[in-house]
Amino acid sequence: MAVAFGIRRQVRVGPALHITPLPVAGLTLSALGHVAFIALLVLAVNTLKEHESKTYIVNLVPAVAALGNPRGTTSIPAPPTPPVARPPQPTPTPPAKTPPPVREVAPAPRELPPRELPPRQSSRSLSLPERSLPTRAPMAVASRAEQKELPTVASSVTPPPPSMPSTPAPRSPAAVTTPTAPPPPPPATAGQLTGSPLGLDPITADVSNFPYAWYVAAVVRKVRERWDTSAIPGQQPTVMFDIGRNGQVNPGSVKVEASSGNIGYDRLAARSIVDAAPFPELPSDFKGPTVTFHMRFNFGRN
Amino acid sequence: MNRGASLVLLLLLVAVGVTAVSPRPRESYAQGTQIYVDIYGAGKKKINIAIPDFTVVAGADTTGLAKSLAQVSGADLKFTGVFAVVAGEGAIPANNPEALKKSWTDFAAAGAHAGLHGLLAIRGERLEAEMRLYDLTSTEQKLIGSKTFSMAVSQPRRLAHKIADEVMLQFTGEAGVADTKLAFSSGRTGAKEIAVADYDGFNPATVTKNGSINLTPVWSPDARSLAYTSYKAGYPDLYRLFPFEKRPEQTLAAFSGINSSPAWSPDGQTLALTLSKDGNPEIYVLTLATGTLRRLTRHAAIDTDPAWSPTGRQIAFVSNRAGAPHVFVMDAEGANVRQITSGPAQTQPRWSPKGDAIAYTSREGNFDIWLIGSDGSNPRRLTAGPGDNEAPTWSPNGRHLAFQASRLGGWQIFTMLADGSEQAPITRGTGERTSPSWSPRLP
Repeated sequence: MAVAFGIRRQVRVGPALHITPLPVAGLTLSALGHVAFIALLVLAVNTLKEHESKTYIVNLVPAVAALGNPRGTTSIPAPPTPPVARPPQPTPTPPAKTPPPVREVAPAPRELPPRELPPRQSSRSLSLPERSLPTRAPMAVASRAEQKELPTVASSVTPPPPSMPSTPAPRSPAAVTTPTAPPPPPPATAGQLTGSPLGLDPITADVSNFPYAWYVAAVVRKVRERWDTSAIPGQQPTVMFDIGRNGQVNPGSVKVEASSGNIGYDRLAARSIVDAAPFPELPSDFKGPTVTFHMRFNFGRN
Repeated sequence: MNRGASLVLLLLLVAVGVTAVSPRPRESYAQGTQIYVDIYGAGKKKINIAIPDFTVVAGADTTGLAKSLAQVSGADLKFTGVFAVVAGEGAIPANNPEALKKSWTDFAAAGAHAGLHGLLAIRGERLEAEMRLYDLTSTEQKLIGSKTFSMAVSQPRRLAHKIADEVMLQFTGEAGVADTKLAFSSGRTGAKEIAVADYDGFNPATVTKNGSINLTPVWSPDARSLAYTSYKAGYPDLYRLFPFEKRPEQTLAAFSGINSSPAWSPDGQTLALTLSKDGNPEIYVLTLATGTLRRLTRHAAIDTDPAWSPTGRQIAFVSNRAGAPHVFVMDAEGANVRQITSGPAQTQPRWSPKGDAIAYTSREGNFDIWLIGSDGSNPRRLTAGPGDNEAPTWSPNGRHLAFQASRLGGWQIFTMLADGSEQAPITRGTGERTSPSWSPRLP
């Protein structure tokens, strides 16, 4: 009330400015002071933030990218290669860790993946198994697997663990296929691809602290379902968004981080995220509250 | 005066400061977990999932459940359009980590991205199954998730459906629709009963037995009851039956003239319907608890076939007020009417569960199912002969549509993915099946 009143009075007095000197000096001083204070605040926030994010870069190409033939030959050689997977990475990203804030980090790694994608595929299928994840969280994984494995089996099996092997025998159909030996039923005949022989697509991902390739692939897959690609080539908007523990995307977190230069395509890309949500719950042994995706849409490419 | 002015300035600056500062922490609070992904081209590449026979860990499997459950779950997952199934022979032995690892390694080599291991315990009248989902794209073969289900031994297929729905949930964040039902009108000319079957057409059962003509069943949002039109009293009246309970049928609307096209509001409290008691067919809303009627449309033309938006704020309906029948949308109060479709003739609008699209039947020569944005944008055809395709109904997750098609001769119920692909019949045989309604997920 008083404020509004003040304004009106001032406005009315306006023409008399030449005569009645307003305390302009005081005003500007106060303004400058506030601006300085806020600048300080922003600075402080920025510097604090720099400590937070460490970015490792891992390039992902799914296990069976070249699954043209049902017998996905490409992914077999997986085990021995992991060391090879590393070398290509250092070159694109000189320092493994880039501290600067999100905004600045984003552009750098994003320029690299597409360039290295083709060579990697042609030279040798760099498949998901080869991701050098083991180094990251080997123990955690092992222990978790055990945890899940043992208690649950125990619960359902506790009384007759020794008789387990014998139980498969009575099953009529399986008994035929695996006459006597319970242990090695599936291996030989294991996989016949009855469905589409398509592997997941090549995805290039830079990942920090998030060794869950399947999760990234699931998110990408769901976005692709909703993405209308009827667009001219060369449009590459990047959209960032947060996925919460429950797999939900806060619509407010969906932002066009780098415009394609065409608002229409930017919107198409952003909308595909909103339409595709929700995503799977975050992996249970991942502890963070959210994961931030920076997804670059390459329109008109395959 | 001066104090007033500087106060304004101060407030302004604070406001600017706050807006300048607040978005930054928002971006940075993600605490270092940043994922940069490049994606190329839209499409629906499938996830290859390996499903070996389930492993029996307790009881005697005299009926081959270990195999059939794996097959049913596999069929469910294939149906989703998200998965392709890598089949295997035999089961993985219980309590044998080496065999498990070997098996998954082989499956991965054959192209599997994920592995579903079912552990089955048969305990008298109960079946217990634990499903474990593994990521086969990493050498660690991580466990993605696990869950245990229990089911009466008389419902093995439902147990497999629940497992498939859980797999879908793990990979897409939204449960599948394998544990749902389809209701439809079944019979020959002159006698049509309401029938209910599993979503894949198994376990069909008639739920009316009045020998009259019973049409257009529609599931209530709680999946416990069906509203439908019956001529059993000589006139087309609306009734409600409870297929899973011993509960008497209710009469919903028996006014003079037509009582038809029931549509449940999303909260299940009200029913939109078509009545001709006041002259020509108009759309009304019936409040179930009180029985009060509210009239929504007032027009000399025919207004019929209402369908609620998933928010309950809008209703799509069919009117011939512009000449031929077209789909219109209005507010739930009846105001703000606007035309959505145009062309020769469109009927049977059905709002998608996500609210972004409306499926409908269009007649241009033959009848076919179409889809249009709920704002009237981007109409596209989903079916194209042979024969007619009508009466779309959405699966609760919006990934599928069921409809009636005449391509096999008589009317049968078909399903397809929401982009029109993978059309397949789920009913066959003598007699005709029409006007399907896809149930919500069962409780």
